Amino acid sequence: MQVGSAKLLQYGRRLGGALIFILLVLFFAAPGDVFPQAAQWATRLQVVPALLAGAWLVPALLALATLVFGRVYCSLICPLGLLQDLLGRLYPKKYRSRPRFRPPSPRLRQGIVIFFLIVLIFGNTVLLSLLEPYSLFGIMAVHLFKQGWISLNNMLAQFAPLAAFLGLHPLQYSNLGLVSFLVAVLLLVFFAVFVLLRGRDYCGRLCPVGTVLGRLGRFALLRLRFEEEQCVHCGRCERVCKTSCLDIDRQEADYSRCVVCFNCVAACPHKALRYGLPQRRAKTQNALSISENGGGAVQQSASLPVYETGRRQFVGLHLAAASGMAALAVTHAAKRAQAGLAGNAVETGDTAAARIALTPPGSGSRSHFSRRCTACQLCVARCPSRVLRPSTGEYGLLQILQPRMDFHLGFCNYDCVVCSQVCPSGAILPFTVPEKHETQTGNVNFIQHLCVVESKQQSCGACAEHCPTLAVKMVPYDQAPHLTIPTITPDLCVGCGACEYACPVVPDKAIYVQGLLAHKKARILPKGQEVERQVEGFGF
Amino acid sequence: MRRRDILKTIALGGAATVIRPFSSFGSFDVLAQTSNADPTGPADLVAVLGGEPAEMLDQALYELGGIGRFVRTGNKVVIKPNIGWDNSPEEAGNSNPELIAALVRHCLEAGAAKVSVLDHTCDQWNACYSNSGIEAAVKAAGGEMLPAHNQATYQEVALPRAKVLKKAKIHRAIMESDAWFNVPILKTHGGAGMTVSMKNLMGIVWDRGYFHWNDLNQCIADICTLPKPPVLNIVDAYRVLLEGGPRGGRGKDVAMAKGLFASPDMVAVDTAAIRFFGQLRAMPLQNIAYLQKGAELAVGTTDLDTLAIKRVKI
Repeated sequence: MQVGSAKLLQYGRRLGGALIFILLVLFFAAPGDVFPQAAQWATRLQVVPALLAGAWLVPALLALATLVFGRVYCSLICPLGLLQDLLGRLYPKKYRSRPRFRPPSPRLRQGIVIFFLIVLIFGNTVLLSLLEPYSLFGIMAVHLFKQGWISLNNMLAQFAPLAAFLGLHPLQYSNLGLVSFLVAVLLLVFFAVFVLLRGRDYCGRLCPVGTVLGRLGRFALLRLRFEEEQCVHCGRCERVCKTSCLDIDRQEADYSRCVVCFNCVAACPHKALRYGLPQRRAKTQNALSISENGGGAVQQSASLPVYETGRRQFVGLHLAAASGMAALAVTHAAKRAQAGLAGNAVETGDTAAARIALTPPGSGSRSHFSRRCTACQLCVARCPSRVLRPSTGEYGLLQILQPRMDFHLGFCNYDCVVCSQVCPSGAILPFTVPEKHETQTGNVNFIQHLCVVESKQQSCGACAEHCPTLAVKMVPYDQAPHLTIPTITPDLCVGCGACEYACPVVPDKAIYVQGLLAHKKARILPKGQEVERQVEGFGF
Repeated sequence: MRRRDILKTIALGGAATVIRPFSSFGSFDVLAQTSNADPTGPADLVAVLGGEPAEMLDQALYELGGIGRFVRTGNKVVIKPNIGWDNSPEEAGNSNPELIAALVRHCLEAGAAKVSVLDHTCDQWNACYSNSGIEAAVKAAGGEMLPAHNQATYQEVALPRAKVLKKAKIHRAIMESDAWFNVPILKTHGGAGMTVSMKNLMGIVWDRGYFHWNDLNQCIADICTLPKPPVLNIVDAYRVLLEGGPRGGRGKDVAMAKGLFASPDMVAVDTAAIRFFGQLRAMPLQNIAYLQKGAELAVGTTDLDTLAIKRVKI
């Protein structure tokens, strides 16, 4: 049975993939409120974030889909897969890779899966994000596509009539920092070159999601089927295979690597390849041909593809790894608890070295955040205040690129809940505005001798005017009666960083927010009252 | 052009000339014309008490000689309210949206080609624009909101009369406008004591950190020497934040004062508004250092007795 015509399958795959890809690019790259939050369903379909968020239904459905259709996730839903397809198309046809079948690398893939599991269990997701396709895409999207979008917008906004017609205004660059920008550039260069040389071999060998799905893909109900008698061994199917998984000599595909792109089916001029269920007729024929062959049985076992032999080894390795991990997990947890205590004990001194970086509200604690965040940068992309930015060591190197609150370019808007709405992995759990008002991500600290009021004997008040909670307010200054000086009430502080952002003192701010490793509850004041005041006259 | 089209054009043109005077908010317009004929001339400063924001504005403009004194046909007009905070109108951190909308309508009725409204906000800009109610009110009135959170939309302007702030980056739309209105809200300020129209000019400037680092009060006075001052300052004192300003919010009380003050003289209108505020809460004028500094730079006068003041109670 052939499911649909080859062209139809191919176009359907492209259309579906394009839809998700465009949604995700818009979600990551469209500046401001241009794009509605509705696009987030495309992020909720991503395997690793869904696993981390504990949304088991998504991976379960994707696994089921893989068992029926093969690795459709890789061709329809994975933004990195679609990006690689696009990158491949940038090259003129004659330069594009014309892969032949390449044997699989079972050990490499097993290694990657084990690494993946270790990382999941040990709660450091940043290593994962260096391999996980959705997050790799996100890092590139926010650093390159979004900034590219802003550049284009600003160029167009230069032309007054066009700007007026399209309603364009110049936009601010995100200024996310050099380190993460370079990571994104390197990633894009890597994929651009890799795609030219090896097609989508990343998906076939390196991708942990692809590897796990590939385990299931081998048992897919619908898959590529060869019609032996129609095949003339022209090899066209092999040359269009994105993952070099098609072996024309054996008339077999390594279905653990096949991303179900249907290119081979569409390329075959003899209809010798189809996508569908096995045919009973074909099976008996196969049996016949073997018995006719005489020494067929021997030949069959000899021709068993390499990737079929590793199953026992695979299971063994996994079990060994699992037992090892259980032991490691205990020691690691103990270590982490110790580190947490040590971190809490850090004195809130004047030096920048003692600063504890702030995790976003909704993350609860540093340890929760580090275990859930894949550094996909979606919150960074959507943060309207530019306060969420990829960390470059402030959490330590093992959490690199996980977003932190940085008060250089902005501060966390008191009534904003955008990051909690978009986070697909549960690193930032959903919260409402009232819940946010009660969340303390850090505490305000005031260094009086640095303050303008004391050092220059001049009025300022920038910190207090920005404070949304009265955690910072101005009181009469005892050394100069005409001046006011900040005073702090840390239990009212939510850690939004508005005071730190607004403080004009450089390089060390006179007021700053010290992060909390575990968020606390902030005290909140009642809402202001509308009071009746009798006014006699004009007053002048 | 076909005959029918020509007839249509004539008919429409005729209708427009007939309808216009009536469509422009009724009685005050007619009265404004009589006021212009008044030999004593329009007031220097108007104080209105006891009305809704829009009607107090109507009254103030009437006493000042009509909107036509400030806006001419075809003008590009900019209105600079205080939209600094992600506050609701009731929290009184931002200028009153009804007042801004009424001013937009006045400008359009006076023949303005375009009325733009902007502020370099402190909180996240689009949250401020929308939650202040100003964005919706302005759009409904036929004006447009301009973003002011991007340095690229600012241009450097020299301030030769200034003492400290010798130059500043000012929003382009202000410098390119034919007339601009300064419409602050009257409220307390932790650093400067009070914020009214002079302090509101910090919202047309890109780098506010410079002000706070280099003598806030002097910089406030300095920015008011801008070669292109507002044609009129309209102080919204409908709701007044009594303490903990300039940001409204939790733990901060608001008084329903129902006042409005307007004058082309920034120092004078601030002096008047702060003296009015002094009746709600003690606020000695000498605590507001930028008033005197502004007077020294000849921005305006703190001596209200030298001005023709019109006081109106509704």
